[in-house]
Amino acid sequence: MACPICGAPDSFVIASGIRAGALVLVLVSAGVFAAIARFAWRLWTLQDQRA
Amino acid sequence: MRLTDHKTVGLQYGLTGLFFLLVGFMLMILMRWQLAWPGQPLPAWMVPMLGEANAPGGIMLPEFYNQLVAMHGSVMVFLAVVPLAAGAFGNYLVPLMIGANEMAFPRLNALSYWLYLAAGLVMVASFFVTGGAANSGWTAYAPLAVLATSGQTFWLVGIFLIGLSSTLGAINMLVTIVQHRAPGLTWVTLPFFVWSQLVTALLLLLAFPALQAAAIFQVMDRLAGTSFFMPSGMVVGGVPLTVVSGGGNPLLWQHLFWFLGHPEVYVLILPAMGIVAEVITVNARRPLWGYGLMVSSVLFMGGMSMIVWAHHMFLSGMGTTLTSFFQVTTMIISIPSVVLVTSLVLTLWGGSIRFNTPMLFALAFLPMFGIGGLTGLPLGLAASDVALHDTYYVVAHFHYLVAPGTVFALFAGIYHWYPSITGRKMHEGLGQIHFWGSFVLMNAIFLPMFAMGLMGVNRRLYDAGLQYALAQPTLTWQPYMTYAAVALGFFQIPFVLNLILTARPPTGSGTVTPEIADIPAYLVRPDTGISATRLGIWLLLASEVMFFGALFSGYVMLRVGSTTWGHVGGFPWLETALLMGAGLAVGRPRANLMGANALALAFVAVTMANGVVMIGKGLTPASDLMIGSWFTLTGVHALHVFAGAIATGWLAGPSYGMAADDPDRWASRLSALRLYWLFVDIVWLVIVAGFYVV
Repeated sequence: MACPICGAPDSFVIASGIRAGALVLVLVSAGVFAAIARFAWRLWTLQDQRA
Repeated sequence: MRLTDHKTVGLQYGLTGLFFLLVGFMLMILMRWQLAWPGQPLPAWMVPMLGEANAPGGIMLPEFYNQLVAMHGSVMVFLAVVPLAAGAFGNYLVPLMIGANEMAFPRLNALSYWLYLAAGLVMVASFFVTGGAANSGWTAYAPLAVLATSGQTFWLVGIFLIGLSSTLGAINMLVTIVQHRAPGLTWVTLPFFVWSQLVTALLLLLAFPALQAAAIFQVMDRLAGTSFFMPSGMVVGGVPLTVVSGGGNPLLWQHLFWFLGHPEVYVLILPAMGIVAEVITVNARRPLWGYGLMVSSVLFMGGMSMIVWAHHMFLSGMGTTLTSFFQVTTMIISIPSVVLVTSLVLTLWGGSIRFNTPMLFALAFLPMFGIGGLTGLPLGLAASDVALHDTYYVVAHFHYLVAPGTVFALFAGIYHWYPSITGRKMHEGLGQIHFWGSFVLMNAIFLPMFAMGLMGVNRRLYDAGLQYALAQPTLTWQPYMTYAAVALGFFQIPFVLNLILTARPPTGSGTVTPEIADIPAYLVRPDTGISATRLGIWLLLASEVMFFGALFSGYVMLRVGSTTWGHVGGFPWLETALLMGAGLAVGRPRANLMGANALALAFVAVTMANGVVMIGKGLTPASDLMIGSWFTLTGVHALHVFAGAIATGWLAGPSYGMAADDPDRWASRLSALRLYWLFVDIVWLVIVAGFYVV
């Protein structure tokens, strides 16, 4: 329940927000790392092809 | 001498980094003086430099001490050690080690240096503005930093510029290593130093955008009255703070700051590992032990460093779920560190070791890094961190990693590669004096801090704990630590003399200038399957994804953590149509490019008009969190659209002649521009979903 004086939400709501925000950061990082890993794998498989 | 030459840029980074190392050191000397003799007048020669405002009657004010703390950390980390480790050594040596003529994007490389210099000057200049420099610690925790004097705004601008510089530098480094390796230099034969620079660049590219996003939020809080980091019901100095709408979350700053802050630790460490590995293999006259294991370790460490950030926040009460997660990841990341140090020690086994100056610094790095690393484990466990957090133990821990750790590695590198730069060796006798003095005195300064921390003495106290019973026994140690710090300064004189006495203009002797024709940036390299231009734009977009990801994570954190969150209302049909139209119009004909440019500029104009209309209705960024978020996210996005419009106009204007003269090169630019517009369109759709739909 929100604080009746200042309107601050209770700690459960705030903690849910922190978890959700941190999750977004972790998921975005995971997505970018997956893309980089895919590119790295391609580099690894192509490295024997010479110019 | 060309200002875009990688050696020139490397030397510029090196000399500027050494200058800022001196600035950071002088700030430390002032801090140490205050800690040794709190409440007593400073020496007469120091007082005029500080001024009456900072030290009335020669006695340093606590407010000025806070500035010293914040700026010492900021200068050392952002302006001295990282630019030296990555900017100087990376730029100078990586092209030579991989057999490249030049970095992939030389002009971008020069720009990254000038941005770094500008950032440094802005940050240091803040000492001269009203209220002085930033005074909320190098971590700039909110809400303290939001309420701080104007020096904090300079700090934020400086951080943003350093972020830009790091992003450009990192893209350059990664593209250079991938695209400009000499034929035959495969991934399994790449020098370990190059691997360490590659992972460092990756971390800078992906981690720094989060701090840039946080800096934008904090600038908005400070200048536009938003409440991203300002909770409801704040009381400052006994008076309720009514000028902000509240509802924000100070932990949002901590999460975004440490998302950069922890990978930044590895940005400090990994290049040092690379330097030490080179120096040890040369002077032990043995190949690196466990090359594959070491490369795997730095890659694993780089990846893991992105998911350990909240171990700096165990005391913030973030809950057991997150605490457990970050505890486990922190324990896991210690394993590759041990693998690296063990491999370097095993490289010495059976070697015919030369104990010259660079080798002494490199050998000293190993136990110093070991002490710093092992003392970090109790801080990575929430239970013991409760007692140790914010004490001198933490100061000792990270200084062992960075000061006798990374800085020793940097000295090792300077002594080791100096002959390759100037054609002359540095004087060995002066080098030995420099090493032994630094080694003994570094330990004299930092070792007692472990004991002080274990006794519970808090860091950041301007009087060294004069008011606390538990700190009394340690007060007598402080003068000796200060004597050691001053003596450490004197022992750097042989190093400076050595640099000056042996310096000659770069001759190129001792270095091998490769004569390998690099593949033009727009052509696909067969063994990578991509061109430098395309890889560069993909990497830029990766950092942009992290940047907007950080902004959206802030949005989600605040929205889910709020019980009241409104809607902007309506649907932005016009803006969406203009932006999608701009993205779709980008094509080869000049008319298409000009159309895209016009649509993009119209989008920016409509977005700005929307903002003006909202302000006219009394809906300002300070009104509430939702409106503040809308202004911030649409503002940052509109700036990206504006940048895209400029690039499109340039392609349609000054660069269009290339379409006929050099069609392949022009096509690669067009292709990069298309990718950029696709990204900007997607970000807009996410913003629309967040503010108008969901």
